[in-house]
Amino acid sequence: MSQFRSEEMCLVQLFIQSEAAHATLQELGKVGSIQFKDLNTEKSAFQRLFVQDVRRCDDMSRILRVIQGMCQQEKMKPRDTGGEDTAMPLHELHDKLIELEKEMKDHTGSMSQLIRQKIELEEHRHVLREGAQWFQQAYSRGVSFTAPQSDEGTEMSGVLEEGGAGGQPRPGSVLGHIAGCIPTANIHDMSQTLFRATRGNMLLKHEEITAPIMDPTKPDEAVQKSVFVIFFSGDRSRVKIDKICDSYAATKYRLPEQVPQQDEIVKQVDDRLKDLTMVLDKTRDYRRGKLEEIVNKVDAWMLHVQREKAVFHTLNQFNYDVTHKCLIAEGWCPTADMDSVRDALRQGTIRSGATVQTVLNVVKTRETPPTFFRNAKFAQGTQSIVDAYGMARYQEFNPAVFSCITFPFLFGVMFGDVGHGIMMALVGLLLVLYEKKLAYLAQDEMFGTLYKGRYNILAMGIFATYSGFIYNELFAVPMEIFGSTAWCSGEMVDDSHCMHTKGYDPATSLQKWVRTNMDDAWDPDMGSTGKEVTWEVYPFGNDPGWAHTANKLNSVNSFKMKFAIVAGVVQMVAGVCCKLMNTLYFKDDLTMYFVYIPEMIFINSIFGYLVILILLKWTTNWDTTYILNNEQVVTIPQRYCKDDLSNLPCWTPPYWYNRATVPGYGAQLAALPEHMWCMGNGAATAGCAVMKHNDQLLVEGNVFVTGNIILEEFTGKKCKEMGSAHCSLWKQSPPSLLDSLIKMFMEIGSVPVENQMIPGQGGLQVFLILIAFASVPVLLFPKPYILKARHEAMQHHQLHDDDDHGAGGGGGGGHGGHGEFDFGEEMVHQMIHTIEYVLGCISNTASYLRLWALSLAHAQLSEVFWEKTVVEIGLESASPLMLFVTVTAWSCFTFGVLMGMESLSAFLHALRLHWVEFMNKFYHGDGYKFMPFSFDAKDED
Amino acid sequence: GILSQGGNTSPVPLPPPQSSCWRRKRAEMITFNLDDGFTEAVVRGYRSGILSQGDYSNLGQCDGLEDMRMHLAVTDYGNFLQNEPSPLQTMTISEKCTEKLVEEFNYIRCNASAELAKFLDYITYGYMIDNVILLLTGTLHERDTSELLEKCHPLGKFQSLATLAITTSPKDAYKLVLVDTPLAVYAQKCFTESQDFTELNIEVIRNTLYKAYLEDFYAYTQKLGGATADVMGEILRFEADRRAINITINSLDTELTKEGRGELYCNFGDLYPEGVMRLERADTQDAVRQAVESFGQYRELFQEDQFNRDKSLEDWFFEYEVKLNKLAFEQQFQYGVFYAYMKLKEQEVRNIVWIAECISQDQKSRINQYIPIF
Repeated sequence: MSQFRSEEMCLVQLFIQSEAAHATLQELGKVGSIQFKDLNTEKSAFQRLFVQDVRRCDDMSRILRVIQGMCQQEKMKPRDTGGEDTAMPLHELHDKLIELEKEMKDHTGSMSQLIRQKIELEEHRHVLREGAQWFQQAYSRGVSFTAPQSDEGTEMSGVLEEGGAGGQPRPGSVLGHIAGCIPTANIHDMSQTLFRATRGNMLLKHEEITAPIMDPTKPDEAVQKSVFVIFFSGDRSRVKIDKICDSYAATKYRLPEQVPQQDEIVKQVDDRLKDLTMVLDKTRDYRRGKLEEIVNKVDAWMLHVQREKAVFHTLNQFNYDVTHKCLIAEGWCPTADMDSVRDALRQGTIRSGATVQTVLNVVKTRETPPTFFRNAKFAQGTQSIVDAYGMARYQEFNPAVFSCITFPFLFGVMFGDVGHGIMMALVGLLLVLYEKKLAYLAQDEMFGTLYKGRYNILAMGIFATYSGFIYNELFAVPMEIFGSTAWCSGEMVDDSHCMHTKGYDPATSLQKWVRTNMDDAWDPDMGSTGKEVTWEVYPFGNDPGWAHTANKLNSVNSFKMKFAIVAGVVQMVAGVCCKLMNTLYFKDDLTMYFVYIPEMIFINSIFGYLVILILLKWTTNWDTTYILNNEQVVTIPQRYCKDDLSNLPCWTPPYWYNRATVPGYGAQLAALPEHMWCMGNGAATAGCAVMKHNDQLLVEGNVFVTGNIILEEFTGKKCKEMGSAHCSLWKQSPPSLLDSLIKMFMEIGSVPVENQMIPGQGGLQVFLILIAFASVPVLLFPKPYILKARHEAMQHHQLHDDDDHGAGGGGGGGHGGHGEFDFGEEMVHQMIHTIEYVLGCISNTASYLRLWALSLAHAQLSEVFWEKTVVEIGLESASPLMLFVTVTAWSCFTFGVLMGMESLSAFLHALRLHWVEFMNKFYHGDGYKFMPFSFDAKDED
Repeated sequence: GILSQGGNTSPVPLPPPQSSCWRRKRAEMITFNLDDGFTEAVVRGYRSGILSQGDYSNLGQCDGLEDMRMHLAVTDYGNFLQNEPSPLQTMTISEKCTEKLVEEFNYIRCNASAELAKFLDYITYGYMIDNVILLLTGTLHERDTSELLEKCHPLGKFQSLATLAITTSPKDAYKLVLVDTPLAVYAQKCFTESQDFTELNIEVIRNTLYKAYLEDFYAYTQKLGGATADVMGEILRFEADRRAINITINSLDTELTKEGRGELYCNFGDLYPEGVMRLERADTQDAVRQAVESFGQYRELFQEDQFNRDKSLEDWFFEYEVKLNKLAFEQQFQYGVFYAYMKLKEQEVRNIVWIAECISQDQKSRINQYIPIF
C-alpha cells in the first residue's frame, strides 16, 4: 500500500534538555526521519539562539575553502576520504583551523614575496639581455653616449637597490635612458603618452619576451610582457617619463650603458636568481609538506562542519522556554519511523549525559502533513516526474505507480523501433549495471538527469523494442523474424513460393501483390485441389509483406490511429478509476456518487463505446460480411474451395481481364451485366466474391442470379420466403468509425446499414447518448447542493449541541467538513470542473492521437534516413567507399536526430499525456514534500 | 576672471524635447524586443533584487556587521561576503557591493545592442569625470596615486587614468591623457588653460565637464526618441536642475563671478531658461529660494529645509532622484530603466554603507536616515 499512498505522518513535539540538544540532533540527523517546523519565523537569521555557532561554522568553511584552494593550486588530491575525524569538538577544530590559516597565510605571504622577487629578477635578466643587444647595435653603428661612464643614468628599483648606486645624470648629460618591463598590452598607450609628454623627444625600443612571465598577484596566470628602453634627453623629462612608466604598470630595472658593467650585473642577477630559486624551492617543499599533512583531512572536516552547521541551523528553528533549560521542537515524522526516532532520542540523551530524558509527544493537528513516498530505486525516476507536476496531496493516490509502466509504454508506442529501442535499452542497462561506479554523474548538470532516470530509460528502451516488434521495424527495415510473409511482390513472382500461374503476364498486370499460398487453392489447370485457402495472419506484429507497398501508410496509419484512441481511452478511464480509489480511501461518498459515477458514465458511453467499435472492427472478418437486402448484416463463411459453394476464390484473380476466359464459367460470367463483374475494365478491385453453389455463380454485391441458391442458413427465413428476386447481397466494406461517431450524434437513432456492426445499434446509441447527456447535470448540480445542505445541517447542529461533531464532519471530505463554506464558490468550482471534464474528454481523446502522429513521424524519419542514404546512394553505387560514407552519414542521423532529438520529443509527449490527460482526471497535487533533517540528504548537496 | 577667457559665446539652447509621437512609440513597441528585450528583462530581474523595506528594517536591527553579512546573504547579494575573513570592515561591504553592481553592469553592457551600448557608455562617462576630478584633486593635495586609483569607481577607469597624476595644468592634462578618452569632446572646451591646477579651476572644470556631458547625453536620449526620451528627459532635466541649484548655493560667497557661474549651468532642464537666469543673479540663499519657488517640484525643497534640519538639501535631491528612477520602471520599451537601475543601486549601496557605519559607530538612532527605495 505504501506505494499507492504516501506514508502516514504524525506531528511530534520534542522537549529536549538544552545540554542534550546538540547530541540529540546529531543522532536524529543520522536517522533522518523528522522534518522540523520553523517555530521562529518572525525572527530574522541573526536573532536566533545559535547564531554564534552558525557563524563559527561559516568561518570554518571559509578557512577550509581557502585550504582547499591551496591544495588545488598545488595539484594535490586527497588520497582517501575514508578517515573521518569527527571526534574533535567544534571549537577545538575552529581554533586549530584558525591557527592553520594563520600559518598557511604566513607561508603563502612569504612565498609570494619570494615569487615576486624571482619574477623581478627574471624580468631584469630579460631587460639586460635585450637591452645589451640594443646598446651593442648602437655602438656598432658608432653611436656614443655622451654620458660619462660613472653616470649610469638608470633608475633602480626593487631588490637591486643596493646593487649599485645609480646616481642622477650630470647636468651635462645629453642622453639618458630608462629600461624596464611592461605588460605588452600597455606598450602602445604608453608610447603614445610618452610621445605627447616629451613632444616626440624620445626613443622607445621594445621587444616582446617570448617566455610568459607569471603574474605575481594571480598565481598560475601568465602575462605577456615586453622589455623596453626609453632614450631621452634632459632632466625634466626623466621625472615625467618615470611617472608615466609608473602609471602604465611598468617596472624599471638598472641597465648600464657599458658592456663590462652590464656583464657584472648579469652575473649578480644570475647569482641572486640561483639563490632565490633554492630558497623558493625549499619554502615550497615545506608548504607542500604542511598541506600534505592535512589534505586528507580537509574533506572530512568540511563534511563535519557542514553537518554541524545543519545541526545548528535546525536548532535555530526550535522554541525555548524562558529559562533556556529546555528546547521545544515540532516536526513531522512518519509513523513507521517512530521507533527509530525514539532510539535516536535515547542515544542522544545518553551521549550528552543529560539528566532528563527527551520527551516525545504526538500532537493531534488539523494541519496537512507533508507527503512522503518511500520509493524503490526503480520508481524514483517516475516519482520525480510526477512530483515535478505537483506534489501529491497527503495520502492521495499516487499516479507514479501506474506511470512506472504506462510512461515507458506510451513512449514505446511513439518510439517503436527494434533498433532504436535496443540502443536505448542498452544505455539504460549500462547505467543501471554500473550505477555505483557512475554515481558521480548524479551531480553533473547534463548527465545528472540521464543518470537519475536510468531505470526509466531502460524501461523506455524495452517498451520501444517491444513496439518495434509490433510495428516490425528494425531501423525502419521490416524483418521476417516470425516466419516469412504470405505475400510477395510482383517483382518476386519468379520465386518458387510465389503464386505463379499460367497466363499471368507481369507486363500487363496492375496488381503486384498476390498471396503465395493461392497456388494450393486455385490452379486453373489442375482445378480445385480441394484444400481450403488458409488466410493465415502473420503470427506477431505487422506483416513484413507491407514493405514497399503503395498503401502501406494507409494500413499502418489506420492501425496506429485506432490504437492511440484505445490506449488513450483506457488510460483516461483508469484515471477516473483512480478517483474512485481516492473516494473510497477518504470515504468521500459524495464525490463517488456524484462525481465519479457520472464521469465514468459519460466517458464510457461515448468513448468507451468507440473503443468497443474499434475492437469489433478489428476482430470482424470483413471478407465474409455481407449486407442482405440493404437492411441486414450477415456473415457467410468463406469456403471458396468447397465443392458445394465455390470454386472461384473471393479475390477474383486479377489475372483474368476477360471474364469470358474464366475457365469453366466463362459463358456464365459473360452473361452477367457489366456492373456485376467486379473487375470492371480490368481494374483491380478489392473484395469481390464469386461463389459457386450448385453450378450457379453467386457474385457478391448483386442480386442473386437465380432464386434457388438462397440458403436459409445465410440469409434467414424472410429472404427465402420472399424469393430471390427480393434478395440482394452486398459486400460490406468495413464501416468508417469516424463517420459512425459523427452520425451517432447527427442522426440520432439510425445507423446506416453499411455502418452497422451490432444488431440493434441504433437503439443502443440512443441509450448511450441519453445517459451521457443525463450524467452532465448529475455531475454539475448535486454535489454543491448537498454540501450546502450538510453545512447548514451542521451549523444547526452546532447551535444546539456544540460537543457532537460526528454527523457532519466525516462525510464532507476535503470540502465541507469544517471552516468557511461559500456556496457560490463551490458551485463555480463544480461548474468549471464539469465543463473541463466534458470538454476535456473530447479534446483529451483527440490529444492521444499524438501517439499516432509521433510514431508515424518516427517511422517515416528513420525510413527516409535509411532509404535516402544507404539504399539509394550506398547500395546503388555498389562501391565500398560510398557504402562507408553513407553508412556513416546514416549512423550520424540515427544518433543525432532519432536517438537524440526524436527520443526527447517522444519523452516530452509521453510526459504531457501523463501530466495533462491522465493526471487531471484525479490528481490534486497540492501537497508539499517531506524534507527530513538528514545528514545523508545534506551530504549530497 | 578665469572664465571670461572662454569667450562670450552665449549658450545655444537645445531644441525643446520633442513631443514623442505615438507612431514612433508604437513602432518602438514592435521592434524594441528585437535588440533590447533580453537586456531589459535582465535589468528588470536585477531590479527585483533591490532591497525591500523589510530588508532594511531587518538590517536596522543588526547588532554588528556580522549580522549584516548574515542578513545580506539571504537577499540577492547572496554569498558575496562569504570569503571575507572576520572582522568585516564597512569598506569591504561597500567595495563588494559596488563590485557586484559593476559585474551586473558589465553583463548588460556585453549583451547590449549598438544603441543601448552607446547609452550605457554614456552612463560610464559620468563615472569617468568623477575619477578624473578625483585624481586631479588628489594630486593637487599630493596624495599617493595608487591610493587614489583604488578610490576610483571601477566603471570610470581607463588605461591612462594614472597618467593624470603627472599633469600640472589643464592644457597638459588634455593633451596628454584626455585626448584619447571619450571625454575628449567635453574636455576640449574647458582644459584650455596652461595655468597650474588650483582648487577653484578644478571645480570649474568639473562642472563644465559635467555640463558638456549632460548636454550631450540629453541630446542623445532625445535623439533616441520615444519613451526613452520621455523618461530620460525627465531624469536628466532634474539632474541639470540639481546641478544648477547646487552650483549656485555652493558659489554664493566665493570668488566665482556671476558670469562664470552662468556658464556652468546646463542649457536644458526644467529651470532653463528663466529659472537659470534668476539663479545666475541670486546673491543669497533667499534669492535662490525665490528663483526656484515657482517650479512646482522644487517648491518644498527650501520649505522643508527650513523646518526639518535633519534632512539636508542633498537628501532631498536623492529622494527626488529615487522617486524619478522608480518611475522609470513603470514604462516599458525604453532605456531609462538601465540608467535608473544604476542610480537606484548606487543609492542602495549608499544606504547599506550608511547603515553599516551607523552600526559600527554605534549610532543606531540615526540609522533610519537612509533613503528607502522600494
